[in-house]
Amino acid sequence: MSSLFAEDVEQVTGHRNRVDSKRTPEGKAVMVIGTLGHNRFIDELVEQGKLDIATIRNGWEQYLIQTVDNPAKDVSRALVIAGCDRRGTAYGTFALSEAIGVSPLYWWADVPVMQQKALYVRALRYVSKAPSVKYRGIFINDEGWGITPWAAKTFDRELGDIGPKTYAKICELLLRMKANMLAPAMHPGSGAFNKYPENKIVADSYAIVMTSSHCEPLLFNNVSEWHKETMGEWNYMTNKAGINKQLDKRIAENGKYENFYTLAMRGIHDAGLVGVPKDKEVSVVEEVIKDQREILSKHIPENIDSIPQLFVPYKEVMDIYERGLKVPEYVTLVWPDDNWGYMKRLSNKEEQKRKGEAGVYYHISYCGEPHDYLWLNTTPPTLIYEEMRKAYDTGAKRYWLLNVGDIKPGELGMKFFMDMAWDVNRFNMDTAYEFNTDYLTSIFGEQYRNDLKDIIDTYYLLGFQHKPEAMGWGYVWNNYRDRERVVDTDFSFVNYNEAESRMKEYDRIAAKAQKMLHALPEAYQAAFYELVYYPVKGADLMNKKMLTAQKSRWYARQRRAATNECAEQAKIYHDSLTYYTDRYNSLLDGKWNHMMAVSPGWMGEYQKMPPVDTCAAAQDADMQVFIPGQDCTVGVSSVNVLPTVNPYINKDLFIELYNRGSQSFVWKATPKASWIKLNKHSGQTALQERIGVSVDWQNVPKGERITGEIEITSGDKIEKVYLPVFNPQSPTREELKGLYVEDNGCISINAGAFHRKKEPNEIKIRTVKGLGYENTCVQLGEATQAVQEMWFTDRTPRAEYDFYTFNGGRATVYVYALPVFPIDSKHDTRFGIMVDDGMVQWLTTSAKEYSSQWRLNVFRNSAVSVMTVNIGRLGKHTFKLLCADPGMIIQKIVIDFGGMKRSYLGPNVTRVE
Amino acid sequence: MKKLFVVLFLLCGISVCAQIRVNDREQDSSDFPLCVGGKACDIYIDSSDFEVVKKCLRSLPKMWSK
Repeated sequence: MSSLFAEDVEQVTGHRNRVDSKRTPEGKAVMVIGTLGHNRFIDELVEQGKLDIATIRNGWEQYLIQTVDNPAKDVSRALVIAGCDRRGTAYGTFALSEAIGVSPLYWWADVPVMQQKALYVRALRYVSKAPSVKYRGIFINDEGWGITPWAAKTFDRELGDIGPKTYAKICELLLRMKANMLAPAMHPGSGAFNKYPENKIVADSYAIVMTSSHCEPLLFNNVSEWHKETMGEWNYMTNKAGINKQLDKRIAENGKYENFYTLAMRGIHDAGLVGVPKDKEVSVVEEVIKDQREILSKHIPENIDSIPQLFVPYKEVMDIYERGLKVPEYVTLVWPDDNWGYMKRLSNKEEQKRKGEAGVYYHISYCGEPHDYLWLNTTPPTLIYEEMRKAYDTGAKRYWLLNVGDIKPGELGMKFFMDMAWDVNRFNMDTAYEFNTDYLTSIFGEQYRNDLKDIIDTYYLLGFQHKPEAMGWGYVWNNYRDRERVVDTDFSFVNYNEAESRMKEYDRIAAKAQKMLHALPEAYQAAFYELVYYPVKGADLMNKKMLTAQKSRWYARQRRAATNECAEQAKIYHDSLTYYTDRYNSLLDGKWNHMMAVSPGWMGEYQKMPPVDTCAAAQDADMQVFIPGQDCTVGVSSVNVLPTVNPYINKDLFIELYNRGSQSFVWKATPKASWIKLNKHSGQTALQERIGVSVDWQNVPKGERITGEIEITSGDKIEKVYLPVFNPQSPTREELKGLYVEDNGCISINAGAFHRKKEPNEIKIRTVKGLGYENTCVQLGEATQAVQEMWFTDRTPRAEYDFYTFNGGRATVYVYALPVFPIDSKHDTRFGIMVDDGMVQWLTTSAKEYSSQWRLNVFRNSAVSVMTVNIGRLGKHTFKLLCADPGMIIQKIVIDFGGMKRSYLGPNVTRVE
Repeated sequence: MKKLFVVLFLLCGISVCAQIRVNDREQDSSDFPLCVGGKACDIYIDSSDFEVVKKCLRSLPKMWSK
């Protein structure tokens, strides 16, 4: 490590430190790096009272950095980095590296090192705290499309596999991020970690603790190390001896290193337990645990309970655990998320007393139901914070493992996860939200802060709304013919300008990122491309490809002449994605060649060109009119009616003229009232054209049923478009300012923007930024708090929203919540709604993993509850969200009197600004 | 006396929570010169320390600047 530090200094200054291992340093100013009890010079300083190590003695991974005057006869000053153990020393060294300007991601994300002619360390005594989470690391998984081909074909061509050379780089990265643990690649395309004996030696040389995934017992990778021909069936009922023989061999070889052992028995790879009748599952898994602990005892000369061991109730194993499986007291219970970032459950009060404590296994990359997301990291840091914080608060402090896929391009998520694991109290909801901006600004410069914030916040918002990998809208892995069938998305081209707004937002941030890429000095461009530009541009192109292809299919049904152009455009987006991916792989003369693939996964089809439709245009021009808001007109309506405008909510209205013929048409648009404003009145159109429609509110007549008319002519054809206007005498816009208001028959509320809150019983009602369809949510208390009063509801904590209606009677309420799970059996996911002082309705969003409702929830990152309420009178009301089970996070509320249109995100927020 | 304890407590907190600050010029005579005038300070480690601390010493001859 000290030599890596010397290399870091050389990167910054151009001059390298001499590294010496003599007993006594000499010189005016020297650095001394060492571990307590393993560095005689440091130990002597301690004995002489020149170095106080009381705060780190007997600690875990702690270090101190201190300047010491006259530490020895021939030394006038020393900068001492002393670790309480081997990783403490390494962390201290890399902490100083980071302070001189060497990012933990300097190699893995090519973050440039700022050159300095000189470096002075302020005289100090810095003592690190013990890490919040004792074992913290990553799981390299589903690596067949990224890190393994990159290692095999680029980084370690000699070996042609992921092996010691690659693992050395990974271990260095982990240490620089103050992580300490690695679950290695385990897919069939990668050589098993223990296939190469050097791997474990490399890991140990970097002081990295090896662990393994939930399905690899005692570091044994049954995917590629189990050979049925010679070892028999992987079936504990019929081949217990054969299985234990291999596990015994593994521990005999690896037991002398620092490991965190998984106690497990599942099928091969990620399959369920094999050959065990349901009624015997609990007893068989208990037997497995006992047998595996005996193997550990046999080879490791420590008390069995002091050997780090874990048990993951993953997938079907959770059910076995819930049926009464007894896990030994000192074994760490590692709670998994549902693979989509939502923790399935956490330790209850009894489990929190366990000596082995608890941990988490979390994903920012996943291969499985209902869809793989192996390409880009789009899990917002606020979601990671919210889920990990409650895990920590319920005792998951011993083991945090992040499934990070191929490491790239998950760098930001991984960095946040590790920073949080190191010091959980460094963050709160707000600082978690700002993490990416702050971190990227620290790399690319303060002058880019606002741009970076806009780009990265929007990227995570759009990715949270729907993951780019799932834009083909089909499920995978849910039946035997489980290749994805790409279909239309739920993003609407007709209502709320939804699909187009999404594409525009991606366009906007991709353009901003491109401008920044070109403005940055060359040395920063690779890092920017990897950390920001490629994820943003990739998501941009994927969304535009899928949505434009969808548009072509929609256009074809209307027989638009523009259909073919649309199909061609989708193909351009598709090809561009390949171009930008190739560019990633050719960065820095091919350093990352084969690392990035747009097509990870076996079952997804999103990487392919989606189906597009074409249309043979008629010979003659044929003008048609499309009106936003009209989902289907054939057999439903014979008139063109625009959405109703009112003075409260601004709308961008338009009439779209399109052609069904190959000849252009000449048209003329004439408003029949002076208060109707068009942005164009005539033209000649080959394919299609939009006419912007607005209203001069100074001159609109007052009334609730005003109708304007616009006549559009083309040759002999006349189309009439009606513009309904709702412009009552009262209330005025000023009177409704700040309220949510009914617009076109519905009220849409951003749950994060409430009018008031009531916080009895220490429950906090908080706005959470950077989460939810509207980028803010409301959190009703902390998940770890007690269930709130559900009987005397005047004492129940709540958020309140004032709204104004022009209709009354029965209304349908849609509440969009984050699809979190109850943290334990004492909690549920209940919250209440009431309008004014009406009836309280208690709702729950709980959905069992792999249920159809769960699939839908994670696919859209939202659990939507639907119920009806009665709103007796017109006018001002208050909608109340009541906290029953604390920790519920609500994104959005829609109150629908019948005007809500089909869409994915629901109507745009109708707040009078 | 109570005030003295408070001051001592705060000073203790400052020393423990102080940030590692590095500058490109000397701001105080007590600053430690990590690299000055084209020369980086020597680093001393103990040969009996853990591999993680010394592992790169295998390439020491290449790094030896004297």
